[in-house]
Amino acid sequence: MTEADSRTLEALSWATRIHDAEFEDWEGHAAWLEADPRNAPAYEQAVLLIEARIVDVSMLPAPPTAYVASNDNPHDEAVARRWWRSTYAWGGALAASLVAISVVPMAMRQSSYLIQTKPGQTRTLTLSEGTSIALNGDSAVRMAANDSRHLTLERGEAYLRVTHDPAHPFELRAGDSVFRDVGTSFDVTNDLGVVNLAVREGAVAFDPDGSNVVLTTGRAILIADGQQQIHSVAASSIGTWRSGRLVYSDTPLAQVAIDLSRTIGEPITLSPGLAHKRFSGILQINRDGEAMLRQLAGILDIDISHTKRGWVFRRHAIDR
Amino acid sequence: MPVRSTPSSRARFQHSQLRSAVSVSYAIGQLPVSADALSDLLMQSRPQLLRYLRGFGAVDEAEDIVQELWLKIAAAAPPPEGPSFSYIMRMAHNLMIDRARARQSRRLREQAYHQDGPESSGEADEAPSAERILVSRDRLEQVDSILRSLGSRTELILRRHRIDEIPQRDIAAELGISLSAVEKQLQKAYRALAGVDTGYAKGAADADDGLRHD
Repeated sequence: MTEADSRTLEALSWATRIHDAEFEDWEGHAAWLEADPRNAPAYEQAVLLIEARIVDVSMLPAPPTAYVASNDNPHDEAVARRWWRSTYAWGGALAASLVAISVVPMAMRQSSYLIQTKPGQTRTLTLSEGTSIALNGDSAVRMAANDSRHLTLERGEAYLRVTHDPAHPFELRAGDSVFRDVGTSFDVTNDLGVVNLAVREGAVAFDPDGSNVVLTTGRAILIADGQQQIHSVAASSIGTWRSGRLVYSDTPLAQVAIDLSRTIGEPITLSPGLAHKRFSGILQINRDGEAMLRQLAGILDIDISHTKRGWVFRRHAIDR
Repeated sequence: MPVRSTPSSRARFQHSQLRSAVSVSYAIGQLPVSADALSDLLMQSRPQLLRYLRGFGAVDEAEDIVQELWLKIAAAAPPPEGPSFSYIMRMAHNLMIDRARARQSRRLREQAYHQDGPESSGEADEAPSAERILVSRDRLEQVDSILRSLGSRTELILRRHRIDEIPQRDIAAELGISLSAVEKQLQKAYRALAGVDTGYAKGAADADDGLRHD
């Protein structure tokens, strides 16, 4: 083994140990870093390389066999079941009731890649042909293994900038809807099958092989319960979540709650009756999610409280 | 504020800035730790912090980084169990890694610019904090075959720790194995992903990520 390899091994060993939250041997790490000036760069390289590889790993579907316990012990079975993505409650939706959702990992490997984010986490990726996808929190996009011009928004929100290629039209599926475009920027959401696509630039065709409804800049389509509704939206407000701005114009609080939930990383539950309350304004997301929510509560004149299961919005006691 | 900023007066000013930042953050929290306890802890940790940062190669900037760290820690919501020496050191560690990551992104952008020309460096990024990851099908296939070679047990531990972010101790309890066994599995996974054992993936990986040191 070369000296460089053994240094890399040491670096990787430190990277493993330090990534664990319970690591405490900072003294030891300091001493190792000081032992040789090549150790610090080797350590940084190791950390960043593993980070990059873990991103790759997260894009590959986890095979179900990896999550099955090694024996048939019922305790292990329960443990194995817990390893599926955890469930949590959505607030609002369109029915203003608590809905539990769970995400089941794909059984097949290598037929497609799943790219997902945790609540409160955002990620942008660029495909090899130049299309860029910005994923909002708690979102998932599936890409066919051999075709980056076909994507499915499984849940959440994505803002896409699609490269122009008339020979290979880009197709996006969300819920039961299909959209096709040649080169555009648009934002699309999929919340439990309710799909909304808003075009910032260019043109997107909804249901290209059927009704072929073409949407251009500033037009959006909402698909819910088999019905479609086209509406206008300020083009400059589309996709502003990427810079932490949420823009609303007479929007039901249920939608605001869904968007905020994605961004702050916690579920928001609305009491019945609040779901349809309208909000107009611009919310600037900052690091202090709590302060922002309290400010919103002040503006809307509602009560908010933080529970183990996230935030709850309700009318003031005297109004109930 | 002093008219001429000498090192000691700068330190004093920043320390007073720290105190007021600390008192603001504790006014809205409900934490038992007093503002004085935190700044005492920071003062006591200072020599080790400086040493640690210098170990990472930050020679001239070490003092400035410590100041930055103090303000970050004072402004941030403290961990539920209260701030500790380990917590401070971890923040210092993470800060140094953030800097290394930023250097690497810069290097990659410059590389892309030189290789493919000005039009390739992309449109102005409207969300500067977003990561840009180039998805290369070849690399995903490589990583996929590495995971297959590791076996489902190792892959499970890797995903559980790095993606689900479960502490090693809890994974050991879940699987009924020792903590050191979990650590060994992770090391095995890391080595394979870094291409150290096989050697073949390393060259390609380095070129891909621009990690080659100049």
